[in-house]
Amino acid sequence: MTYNLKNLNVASLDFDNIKESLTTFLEQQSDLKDLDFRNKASAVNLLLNVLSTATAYNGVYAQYGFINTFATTATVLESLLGIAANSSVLIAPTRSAKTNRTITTTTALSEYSSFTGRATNGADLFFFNLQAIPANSSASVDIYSGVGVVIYTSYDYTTQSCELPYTVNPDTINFYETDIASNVETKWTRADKSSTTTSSNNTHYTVINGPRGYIVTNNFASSRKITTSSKVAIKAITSNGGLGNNGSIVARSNTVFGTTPFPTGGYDEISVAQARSSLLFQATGQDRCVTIRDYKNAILGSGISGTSTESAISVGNGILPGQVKIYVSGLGSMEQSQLMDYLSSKSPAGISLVYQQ
Amino acid sequence: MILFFNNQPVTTEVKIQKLLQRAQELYGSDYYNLQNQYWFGDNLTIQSLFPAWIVREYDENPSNVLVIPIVKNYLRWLLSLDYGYGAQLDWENIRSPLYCNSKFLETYADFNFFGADFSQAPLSSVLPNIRKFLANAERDYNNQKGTPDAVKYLICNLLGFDWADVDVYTANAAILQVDVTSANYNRLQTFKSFLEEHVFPAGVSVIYGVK
Repeated sequence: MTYNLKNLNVASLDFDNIKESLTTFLEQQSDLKDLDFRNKASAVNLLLNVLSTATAYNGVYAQYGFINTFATTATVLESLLGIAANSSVLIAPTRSAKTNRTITTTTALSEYSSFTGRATNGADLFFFNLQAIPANSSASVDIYSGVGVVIYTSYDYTTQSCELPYTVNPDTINFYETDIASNVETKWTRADKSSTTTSSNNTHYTVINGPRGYIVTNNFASSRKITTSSKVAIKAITSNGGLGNNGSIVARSNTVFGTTPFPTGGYDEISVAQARSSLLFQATGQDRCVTIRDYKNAILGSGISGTSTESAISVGNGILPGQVKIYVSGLGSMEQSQLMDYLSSKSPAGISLVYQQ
Repeated sequence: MILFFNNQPVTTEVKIQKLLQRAQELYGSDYYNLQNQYWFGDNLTIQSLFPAWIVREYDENPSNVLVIPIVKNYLRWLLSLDYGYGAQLDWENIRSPLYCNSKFLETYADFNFFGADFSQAPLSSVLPNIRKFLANAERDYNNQKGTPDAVKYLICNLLGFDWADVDVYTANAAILQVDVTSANYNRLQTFKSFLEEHVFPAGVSVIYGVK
């Protein structure tokens, strides 16, 4: 985006521009009429050099503060994540691959049980289920790739929150409260932009972006306050980025897979531009594709490998009514398929998507 | 000012000219602009920046201590958004599109229509309308993006068309019809590329008509 930086005076950080502007202004002042501002040998010119230098330093601070205040100009990922939090949008700097499989058990399968696997590059993988399955039953569950399961207990009772590092996959966070006296554990319910809080359930929490990591908090009006008579444990899976994409998964000895789709959607740390697109898509596009720009923002923020360059993306109306053409130059066939699946889940009913230049 | 009008036997036009001349003399001297606002930089007094003996010397003979008027005018220039460097940002208003300085409106336009260039014509002409558009954009635009109501809300509030001059409706399957009065037809056409990328639903054809 081209900003009119000349009108935005604080954007000028050039010493010569600053000095020229200051000199011109001072020359117009009636009480400074006789001073030889432009003579480089004069004392007043030396003073102008000092003042202009100080101004340039201040300008750097002002500009840094200004550009990192807004989503469209922020240059630091942390700034963008903070702005996202103000729009109730969660941006994950990294995510691990996920798949949904039907699992049949012979004995009970507990939450966060590990499955082994193999990445496309031959590396060992671990996968974890978030949902428990009773013995001798079948369920369709999400399985996430990751480095391992971590448990955070550094809950702050004052702020009713706990901070998790950005290395975890935010989709895998679960919140448990255990009453110390009775040792009864309660699993809390997660609320977010698309899953709002309800008055009938006061044990819900949310996850928002913070300056240094995810803030997991139950600090909102309709949620119950946790006292020191309970202890809190927050479980999550540490992300391994895109390593698990299209990897294989081996069923545990007490399980059988009924379906075997490959895990997808994992990505390594995203750039500021990708985080911005993701924020804009979720905040102003409500996480759905309506306009051509929504599709572009969705593609840029998808995290799918090969979709991070806007100039490579082409979106337009197809030849048939209700048809939208999508094309990303240089995208591999597997990523094309991932992209179309991703966009289909965010497009309005009645709209058909075709991958076509 | 009153003296001009009471004592000089001249035409109204001359009186206005003299009034403007007087006002313009005030600009750049003790006053910030034509509304007799003092420079914001004058809030930082030289008494707080210089030792007392220099200020005393300046009070006795201003021409002997030139550094004081230089620094005084430097502060005026440094903190003025309109005539100087603009270091006095109104941070308290910067996150409020309704009250922020107009220099920052482009960031709000960018947030809502990323990729559209509001620094260039024709969008630069409607940039101030972003304040009006954002007043209820979450409910009347973002929450129902792509609907005829949302399209009309944008055309009227952001592009500045009168509500009665615009009709937006579904003409046929996958066809959206936008009718405006004949006087507005050409103006709407100047925003065509913006509307087609940022406003109209993808996959839908648009017919522009005259109501």
